[in-house]
Amino acid sequence: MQTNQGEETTPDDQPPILGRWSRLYTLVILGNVLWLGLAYLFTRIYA
Amino acid sequence: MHWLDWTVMIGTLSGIVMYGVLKTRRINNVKDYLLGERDLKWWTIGLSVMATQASAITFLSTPGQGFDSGMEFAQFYIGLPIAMVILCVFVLPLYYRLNVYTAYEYLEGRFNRKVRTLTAILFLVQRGLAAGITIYAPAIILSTIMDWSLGWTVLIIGMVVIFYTVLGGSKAVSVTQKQQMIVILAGMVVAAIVVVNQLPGDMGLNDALHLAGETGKLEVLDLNFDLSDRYNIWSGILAGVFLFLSYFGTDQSQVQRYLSGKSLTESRLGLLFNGLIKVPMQLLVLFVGVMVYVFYMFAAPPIHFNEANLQDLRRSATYTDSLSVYELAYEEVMTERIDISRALVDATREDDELESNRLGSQIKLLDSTARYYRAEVDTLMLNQARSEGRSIKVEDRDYVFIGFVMSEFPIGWGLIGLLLAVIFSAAMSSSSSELNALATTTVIDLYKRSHRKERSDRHYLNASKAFTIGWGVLALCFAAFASLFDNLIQAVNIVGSLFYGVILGIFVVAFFFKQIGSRAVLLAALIVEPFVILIYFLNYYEKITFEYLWLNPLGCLITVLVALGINEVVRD
Repeated sequence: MQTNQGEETTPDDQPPILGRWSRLYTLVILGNVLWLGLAYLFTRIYA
Repeated sequence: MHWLDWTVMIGTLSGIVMYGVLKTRRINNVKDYLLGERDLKWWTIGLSVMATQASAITFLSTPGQGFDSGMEFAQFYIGLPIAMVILCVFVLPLYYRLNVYTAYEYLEGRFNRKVRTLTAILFLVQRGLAAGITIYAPAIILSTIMDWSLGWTVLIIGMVVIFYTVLGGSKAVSVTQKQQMIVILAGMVVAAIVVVNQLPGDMGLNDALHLAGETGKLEVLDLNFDLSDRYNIWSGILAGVFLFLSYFGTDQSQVQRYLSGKSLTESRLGLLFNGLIKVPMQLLVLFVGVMVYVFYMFAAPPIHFNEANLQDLRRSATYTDSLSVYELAYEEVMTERIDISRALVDATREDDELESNRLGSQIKLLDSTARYYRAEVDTLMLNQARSEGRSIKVEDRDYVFIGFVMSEFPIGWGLIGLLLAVIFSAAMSSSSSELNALATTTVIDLYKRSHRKERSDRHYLNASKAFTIGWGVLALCFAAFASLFDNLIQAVNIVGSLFYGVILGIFVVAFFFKQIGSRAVLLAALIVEPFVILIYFLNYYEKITFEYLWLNPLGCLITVLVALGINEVVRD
């Protein structure tokens, strides 16, 4: 990739979009999958 | 109401207000007043964000939704955690870097002053209307159930909120919201426990869950894609993400909550906390409604939950006979349902799956017969109101839970007072952040930017307080007209959906389409907003089928596409 100065950069030089927060973001999404999974399991057990 | 209930209710509410006032008494400059000294920790931000969204309507209407349609409403919130992550990645860092007071300030840097002003005005219109409904919704229900004056109930809620919001500004809103949310969460847990305890003597939680399951009330996920179906997993994920991105990313009443954070990290954690807790909280509130339904499987519920409407009908010489006929038929259906419910408990205890399914289907059939009689009574009420030249709200879902609390909760334990404190807390928490955000946007984006530049800090501080009072008074005036809407929680969401799509479209263009200029996005917004309102009314008058939640992605996508198109023709 070219910078304004015309230097070559590697993907590693780019600021990470998710960065060190990626684990927490994943936890939030997976947490919700877990909530809904539990609710669905409840539905099946008591249906 | 018992004196202990009054004590718990008034003690809880006044304690929270006093705490808010004491914590913010030293605030004396406009930055601290509007951004809450920027010292809040993540748990305060998270609870404050939750409290802003969870209005009293949430705790009155949502158990009614659970009672009526089961747990499916939870799907509405599936898009929320996804929206939280997207905001934490793209939006929060930008707002922090630019050090803005309002979301709309960013738009001036990216486009120009006109786009900022237009978006701020769109926000002020929709949030100004919603602020009225936020106060009116609990007031109408509480005044009916408690036999209080509607005018006084609206006025008291409004005046208390204006009092502490004007005195303490954004920080008073956040610190009171933290306490209010703790009361709300504790109250709902207590409500769930009490409802299960009120079930007939030999019934336990396990039996109640079996009954709810067999009658389809526990169904959370609906995988069918249908634009005319209000709540399914697709509307939750797709339309819901757009709604919540717009609400949390561009609605100042939310943006102001997390801009008060001590740092970007605290704000991010606050939003992620909300993303993790919101769905289970809604499941809990809906579960309370489902348990109320199970309770009424063993005690016939009233044919209509708004007792005031029923009394009006009984007083009428023309309609009272028809009402008696329907009440009798309804009572027979309910008596049969009680017998079948008892048989269903036995069948589930014996693990007789075939018999359970058969009895469950019978109950569903009886429920649809009961719904028919309830609808007929609604028609009688409408006819009576029409003949007397007055308007009436026959939708009684919002009265189910509070009616149950007042008639079935144990008296003298303070529990009724606690539940009323929950509803007042929720009303005050969302109203206060609305007033605070309306005042901030008016001062920062309109007053200071366009009318009174370069005045002293004291001048803008006083202006912020004056605008808070002004918006509060205006919200009270809107509350006077809110009776025109049928279902209150939907009214708030519908008003939001009419404007959010276009506002989000403007922000999406700002963030991701750097080639689009200010003229193109301004024209696009002015063209698309009337189009979105037209679609809503075509659906309303049944010319097309298009549920309001889909207005969010529609408004957003069309704004982006039209802006792209105009940008090819008209350049800045």
